Amino acid sequence: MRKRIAGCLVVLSLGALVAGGCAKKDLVKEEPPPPVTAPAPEAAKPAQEARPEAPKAPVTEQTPVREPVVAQEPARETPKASGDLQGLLQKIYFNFDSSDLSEDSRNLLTRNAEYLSKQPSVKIRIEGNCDERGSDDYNMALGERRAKAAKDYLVNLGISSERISTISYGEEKPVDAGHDEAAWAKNRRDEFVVVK
Amino acid sequence: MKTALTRNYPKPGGMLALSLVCHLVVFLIIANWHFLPEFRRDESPVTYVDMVTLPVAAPQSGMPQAPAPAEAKAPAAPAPAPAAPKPAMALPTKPAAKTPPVKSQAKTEQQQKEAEDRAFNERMAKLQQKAEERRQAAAIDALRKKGSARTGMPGATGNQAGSDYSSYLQSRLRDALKQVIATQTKAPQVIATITVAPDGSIDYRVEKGSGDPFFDEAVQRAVALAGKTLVPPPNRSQYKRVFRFMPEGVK
Amino acid sequence: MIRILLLLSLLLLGPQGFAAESYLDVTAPTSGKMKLAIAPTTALSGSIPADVARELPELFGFDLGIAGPFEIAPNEVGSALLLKSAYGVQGDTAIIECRLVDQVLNREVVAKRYSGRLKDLRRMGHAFSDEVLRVLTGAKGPFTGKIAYVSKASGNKEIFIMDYDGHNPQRLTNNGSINLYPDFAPSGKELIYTSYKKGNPDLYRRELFTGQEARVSSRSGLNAMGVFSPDGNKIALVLSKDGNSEIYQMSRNGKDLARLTNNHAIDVSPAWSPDGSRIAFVSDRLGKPQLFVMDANGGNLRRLTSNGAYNVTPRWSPKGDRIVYARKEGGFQIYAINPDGSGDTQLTSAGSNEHPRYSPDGRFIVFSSTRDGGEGLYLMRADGSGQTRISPDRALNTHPTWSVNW
Repeated sequence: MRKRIAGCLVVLSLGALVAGGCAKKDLVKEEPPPPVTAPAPEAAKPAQEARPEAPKAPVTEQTPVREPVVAQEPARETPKASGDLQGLLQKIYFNFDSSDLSEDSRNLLTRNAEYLSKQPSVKIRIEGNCDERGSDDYNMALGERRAKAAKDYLVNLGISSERISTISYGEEKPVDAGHDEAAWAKNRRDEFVVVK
Repeated sequence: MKTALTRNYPKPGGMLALSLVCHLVVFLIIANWHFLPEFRRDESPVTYVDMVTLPVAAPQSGMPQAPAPAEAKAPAAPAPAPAAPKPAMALPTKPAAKTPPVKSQAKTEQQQKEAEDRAFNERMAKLQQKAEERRQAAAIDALRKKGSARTGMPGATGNQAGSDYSSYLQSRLRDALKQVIATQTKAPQVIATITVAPDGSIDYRVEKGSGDPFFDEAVQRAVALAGKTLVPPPNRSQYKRVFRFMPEGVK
Repeated sequence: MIRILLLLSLLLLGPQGFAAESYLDVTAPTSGKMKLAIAPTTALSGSIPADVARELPELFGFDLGIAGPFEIAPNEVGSALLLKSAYGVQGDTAIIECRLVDQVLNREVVAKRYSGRLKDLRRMGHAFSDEVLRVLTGAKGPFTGKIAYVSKASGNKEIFIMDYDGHNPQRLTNNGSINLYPDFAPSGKELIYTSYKKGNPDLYRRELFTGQEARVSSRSGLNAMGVFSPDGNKIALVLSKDGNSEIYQMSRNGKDLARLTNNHAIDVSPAWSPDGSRIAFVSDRLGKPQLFVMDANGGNLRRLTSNGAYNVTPRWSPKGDRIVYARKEGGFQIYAINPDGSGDTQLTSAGSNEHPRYSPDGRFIVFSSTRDGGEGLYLMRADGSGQTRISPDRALNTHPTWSVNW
């Protein structure tokens, strides 16, 4: 309650100041110091929502809440039974701004399908990637489409769609950090990752 | 009221009358234009070019009677030189201090230490400004003494100062506007009635604002700036005229 | 005809009769800019640290210089406007008094006194810059807003936040995965972003002051490019749960999902119109990525861009009169276009420039550029003038987004 009254006072005095705006010279108007205040306690939250202009602890004051550092790739290659499979599965590559499967890619996918069919309990994740040249927004979707293209092909070859998940990393996970065609060609790819 | 008046005219007759008046106006303007150069020829052109260092078109008869109160009100803020055609006056920096014709000061300058340069330059600028003002006042005085018998001009209604005062004020305003002009829109225009009281104090009333706060304020500042050192209108009369302010090159 | 009559009557009734029937013109050349000088900061009492004496005038000079309407005059004399500041300390509280003085009309235009923690000095300075813009132009400045962005400063892409001028960078996420597409809520107090921290690219909403966070969309596939609606109640985003990327909208809590596009093509990068009635987005349904506009319910679709083979990342101006975007022509360049497809204008040309976004007041566009090597953050006025680097460091920094004033 006191907070609210204080808030009202702040708002009122601010209003008064604004109203008194250019009245007299040599008068430095008091302004409720916007940058002050200790970090607002959790309890004050509803009040904050109600008064968006209320003075507020700058984020700079807060040490960002530490998040547990999570391995970004959940359970990449569990190199036990399927360890050799991971070694066998081949990456496929794409042309710029394309998710079409080249003849090479289709051959590689056919071979990948053979390995997969021999180990029907193993699941894989197809990771679609792009080179750095396109828009990264657009590439996020393009990577998705590249992964889906490979998945569809494998499913057509008889691999159960239940066993295949897809993910796009857009242009966020290049294998070659270079900025030339050789690097870009390596980065426009699908990777096949064995998951448990 | 204007519209009411015009609306009251019966259509054909009114139009005829209006067109007549219109033609008369145009004729008078043209007539005046023809008169002006003739009057000018009578004048000896030397003095007034020097006088205000301005492109005063025809500062002929009817120059101010009252002594110039140029230095009377010293502005609190360091006012830019009144008729300053050179920005150097407003910005008293080193190079500015070197150009002036004031000899004895210029010599001492050499001996000044670096630290004192600034203060010195400012004093310099003030001296220059005063000198300039004195020179102007003298020039105006001289011109006044020459005095011609003519006052007013043909077509004038009598309560108005000569066109020379208009030109004088116009160039003062122009110089002031140059210093403070700022715009936010493409072609702002302010139409304002400017009154100069017999004592030389200026006042203005905006007839039509520009809608551009930057330009409106610039005009306000220009009028204030020009009004700081203004020669009063001739014959202890009040001068009043409508001016149109706008950025150069837009019409 | 009426106009002619009016004109004539004006002529007739001019204050001086015949002689004054025309105005006397007073004209002067102009760059348009208002001269404004900034005085060195003085001490409220005692002395003032040299760095503070420099910092505030520099800050004012940067803020008001980049603002556009002002020319920062090098000399106090001869400038109509003079900005003065004074600084003092009481305990651990800093106080600054700022005044804008009209030296010609001899009056105070605005004066404010701020107090805060010593480290908030810059923020107090920006607050006065905001105020100066409000008083002189009628629209408050955006300088106390924050810019959130994606940075690789810590080795992987995390969300950071900084002052609009690149000072005080602060890491917001710290999860070691990939974090992308920050977007402020209209209140400026919440931020949504996409993170791979739990494997899938999911959408998170974080309360900035408490650090509290909720995962608001974790549907299979992409949960990306989320943007708050102007009223803050909805989020438009890209999901690929149905097979390929489509635009959806949902509540701010991730509920009430509605699909807006339905197409085999790629549909990404939704951007709300400021009234919330329309959404611009990118689709390659005609072969190459182009900008489209649809109603917020998905209807009334039409193509926006017809020039260029590859147009992406639209963002609506806060006034609604322009849409800024990036066009790929070799590298990327930033363009702005009217929402009806007219007035297509190129704004950048140096380096490759992407991820444009308007400041909340519409005066500026923030973007990322490779012009100085690497990819850094830059700022320009909405007309493309005044392009200035604001990156806080040399790390790869992209996807800037500017919050309302804190």
